[in-house]
Amino acid sequence: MIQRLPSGVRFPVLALLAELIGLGFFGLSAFLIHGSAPFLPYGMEGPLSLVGLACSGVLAGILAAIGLYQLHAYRPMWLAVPVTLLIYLPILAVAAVSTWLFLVFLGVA
Amino acid sequence: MHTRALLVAIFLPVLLLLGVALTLDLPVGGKTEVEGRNTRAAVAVRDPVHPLEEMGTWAFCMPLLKRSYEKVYAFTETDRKNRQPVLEQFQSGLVEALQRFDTVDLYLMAHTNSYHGWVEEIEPELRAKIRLVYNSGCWCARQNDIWLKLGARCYVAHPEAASHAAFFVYFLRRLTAGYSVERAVSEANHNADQFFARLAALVPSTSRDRNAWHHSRGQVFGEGNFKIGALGS
Repeated sequence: MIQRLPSGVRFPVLALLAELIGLGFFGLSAFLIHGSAPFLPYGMEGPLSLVGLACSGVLAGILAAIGLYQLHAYRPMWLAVPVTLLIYLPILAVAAVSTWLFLVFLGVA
Repeated sequence: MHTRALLVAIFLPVLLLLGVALTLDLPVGGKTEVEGRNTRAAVAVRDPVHPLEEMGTWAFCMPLLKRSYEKVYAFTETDRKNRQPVLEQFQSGLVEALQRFDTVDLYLMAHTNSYHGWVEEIEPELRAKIRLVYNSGCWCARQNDIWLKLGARCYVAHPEAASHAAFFVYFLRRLTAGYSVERAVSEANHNADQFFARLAALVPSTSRDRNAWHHSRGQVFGEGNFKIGALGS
């Protein structure tokens, strides 16, 4: 289905999907560990949150960056600038916050 | 090669990440407190809150605490109506930590609380090993006499009701990076001031939180001039 998307839309959609999946994974892990019916043991918070944030931060950021490159390389400026501001900036902002959290949880920031 | 496109693709994400780090917290300088690590333990407890908050608390705390303490005893209260079992575990975990290690630091990440009741029952000789107690609860600074009398060398807490999570993030990052307790509290207060000011600028409805925070900045009671890695402290 994703392959059928026009090339200009593919990467922002993929980046958005990565964010939704990553944050969803983080939230689901929280409920599976600390919810009313715990399914996963305590102590899994660190590794699972890193997986979720790597997806919604690092992976989404890379996908958005590829999309940005294609946009600015192959589309006219009058289109590239507003698309960057209206579509890529919100996606990248979420990815940047997730990446910062990922680095803090990892202990390198 | 499209140079302009390449520059945009690289620098825009990097600039945003830098902006987030500048807004929230830049990497903390200093070194992890590993000296004498095998002589000390931390006991941390989290009261029952939303699963996402509990997840965030432990995902943030545990890597930092594990780097500075030989063992971290972590307890999560899951049921507000039935706190007894976890609090009993907390007490027995604290006793074990006090028996096994020279120094024990306590991190009480809970709303207004009275964990001191569970510590009072422990023998005074063991309690004397408690060094630092951080209590995030609202109005819990008023317990300073109790904790110092129980044997704690230093008690860090808040005098009023506010959101203290931002303070704790800044505080623990600095404490485990080798800052003294007093310096970590001072910088965490300063950073939390800035955090709430920025938040209020972005979301005006949070100015109430900023005002509440200003009345509930972190306070140090007892001796706060040591670092958690200081030997013999």
